[in-house]
Amino acid sequence: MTWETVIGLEVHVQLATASKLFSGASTTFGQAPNSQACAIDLGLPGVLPVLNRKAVDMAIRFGTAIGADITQKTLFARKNYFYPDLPKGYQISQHHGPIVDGGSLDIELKDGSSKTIAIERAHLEEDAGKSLHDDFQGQTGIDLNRAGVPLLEIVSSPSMGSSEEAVAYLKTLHSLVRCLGISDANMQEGSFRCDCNVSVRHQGQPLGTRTETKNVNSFKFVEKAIQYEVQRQITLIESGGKVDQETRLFDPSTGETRVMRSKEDANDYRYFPCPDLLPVHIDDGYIEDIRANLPELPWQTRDRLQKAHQLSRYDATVLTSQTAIGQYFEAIIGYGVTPKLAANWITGELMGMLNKNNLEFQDTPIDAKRFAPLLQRIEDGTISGKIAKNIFETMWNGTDTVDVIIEAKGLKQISDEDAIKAIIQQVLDENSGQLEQYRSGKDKLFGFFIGQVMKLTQGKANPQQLNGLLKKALDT
Amino acid sequence: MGASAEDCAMLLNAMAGHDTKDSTSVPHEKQDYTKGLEHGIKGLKIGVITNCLKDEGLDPGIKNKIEDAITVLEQLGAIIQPIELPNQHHSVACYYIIAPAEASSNLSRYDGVRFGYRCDNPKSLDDLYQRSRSEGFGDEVKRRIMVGTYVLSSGFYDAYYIKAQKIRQLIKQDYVKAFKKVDILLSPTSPNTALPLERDHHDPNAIYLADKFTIGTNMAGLPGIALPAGLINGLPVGFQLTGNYLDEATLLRVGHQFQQATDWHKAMPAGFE
Repeated sequence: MTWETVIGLEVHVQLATASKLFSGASTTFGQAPNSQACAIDLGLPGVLPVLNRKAVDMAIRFGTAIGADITQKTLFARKNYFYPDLPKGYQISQHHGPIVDGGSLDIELKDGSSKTIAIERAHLEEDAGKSLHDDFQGQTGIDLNRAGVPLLEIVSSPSMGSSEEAVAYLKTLHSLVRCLGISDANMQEGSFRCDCNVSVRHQGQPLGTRTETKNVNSFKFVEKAIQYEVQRQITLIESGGKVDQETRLFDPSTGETRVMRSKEDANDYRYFPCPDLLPVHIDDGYIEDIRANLPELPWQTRDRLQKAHQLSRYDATVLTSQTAIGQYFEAIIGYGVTPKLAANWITGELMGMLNKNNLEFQDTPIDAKRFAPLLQRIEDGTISGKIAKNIFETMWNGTDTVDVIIEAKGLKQISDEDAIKAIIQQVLDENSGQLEQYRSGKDKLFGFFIGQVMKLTQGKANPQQLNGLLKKALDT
Repeated sequence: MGASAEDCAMLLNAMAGHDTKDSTSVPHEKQDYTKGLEHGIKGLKIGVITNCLKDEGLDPGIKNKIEDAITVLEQLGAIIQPIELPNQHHSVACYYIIAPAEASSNLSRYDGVRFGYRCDNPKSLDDLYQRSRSEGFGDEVKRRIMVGTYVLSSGFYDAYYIKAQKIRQLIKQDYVKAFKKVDILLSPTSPNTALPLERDHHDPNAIYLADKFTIGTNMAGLPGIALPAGLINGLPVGFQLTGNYLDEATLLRVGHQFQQATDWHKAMPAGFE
């Protein structure tokens, strides 16, 4: 019997509104503690919440993009629990009648297949403050700047079967909310946080008991947390134990999850409709207006680019994982660069370098205007791909254009047939022993001769030309 | 709130209007409530809530005073007719589910963390919560927090809170139907005169039941006015008028006209003369 994994994800997306969900205080990240919390965020007696329309619009925008129903009479509820960074002793959230009902996302998997992940709901709620345990020897500080920041909690169905699917779903969701402009989705700053519900079962059996691993804040950690949790549950059951329904925490330093709260300690949240807020009525016209103004969605851009430029599904998916990447790609194409070459360099060198330096795509030090000529110099034969990679590194660390670097370092490719022939002749003359072996059938030595020519030319010989000319010289 | 209906009209002028910082406030245009007070009430239809006047908990002395007041209004030209509000007797039970539910949540912020009373030397977070709230709140507040927490708890929510909200709708519909027949409603304010201070500490249910005639108005979200109608053993007696939604003007006009014909609003309780 094989084990089957069942994963459902709850993602908290901080919405990019200027002010909070129920107050006028600013939502800017990283300000001095408690400098962005007004009387309403502090929960002072007598204050009342007033709903931020922008947050509602953003939720509707998300709902229309995933093909969900927008609840036309949506309700806010209080979720009651005690915690020091929850100033009112309750969170204003949605329980029955969430604003976004249903919908789905298609995800692309590495084997080229795709899968539709149903979304159960998405609802608006206010974020809590932060408890700071590190800076106050033996005491806890409370920063309420985050209290009241609007969140859209997006709840998937339990329909993902592996950590790969879970990460693909998260990445698709991540690129969607950024494309829609409803969140910066910055995972380090906590604007895109994921709770992973995981259970295992034997195929065909009813769902197993699930655990919830809270606040995992990177794709890598989600992958690790799920893999760890699946293995833990299987090992537990196979050794005769049983999984407890509990809330767990992922520890990035060990790659393990550990118990945070057992079922016995679970809160009874005593949800009830928030008496301070009326139901919000959203009419068809309002929804249609928002739907009509949706931008081109990532999967639409992907299909368009794939078709227009004969890209692989994988390249097209990566290129549209962020709006900025797609725009960059299209800008490069605009300079007349071959799409496949542009795709390879953006998904390979450029994104690799960004990853290595922990940079966001839009922070690339090489803009499209400087990047396109590098690829053009490959295409017109001025430099080889290999040399181009060296130049790319120089460009990354400076501000020079490709042509300035080629000129300054003398990296121009040698494409003059006679010049290459002369060097080949020199190499053959200097290595008569190897030449004899080659001619007596040791084909593998072809690479040796290529290497010798490249050594003499410092890698500048045009590789295609060299190939052809060397073959000719060796075989005659 | 005021020494006369006219005072109340002036006060309401200062208080009324849409409050953009209160999402439950009705966006209704302001009006001058002192205008029209002098208009008579001839032909105005007043419904007397019969189930209240027949209520066995109503002090017979108070009932007499109210009947006197009805006679005055009749003499002023009002048309009196009986009205039954069949669900009104549920209103106290209903209120003492919904209000404590809200209060239990509203009062959560008094947890000793940011403001309000904090116990000495808390040993842990739970200790801080438990002692701050146990020591800081009085009996009636604690009673309501416990009732409210209970009726919102999982397993009890549908049986109490949801049912109370449904009954609240029935109570409201009774009023809506009544206002199709009459302009305003008349009932006692309190079933008895003021209780001695020390009774507060004994039977909370008896105290809650003193609200039986007024709470329906709150549950339905309607405006009401209580007018003095005499003294019994030196203690004030009043009656209540309930108006249709946003029709405070009619209430104030009837009150003012009543006070033109009577002097009860100038009578002082024993010991306050």
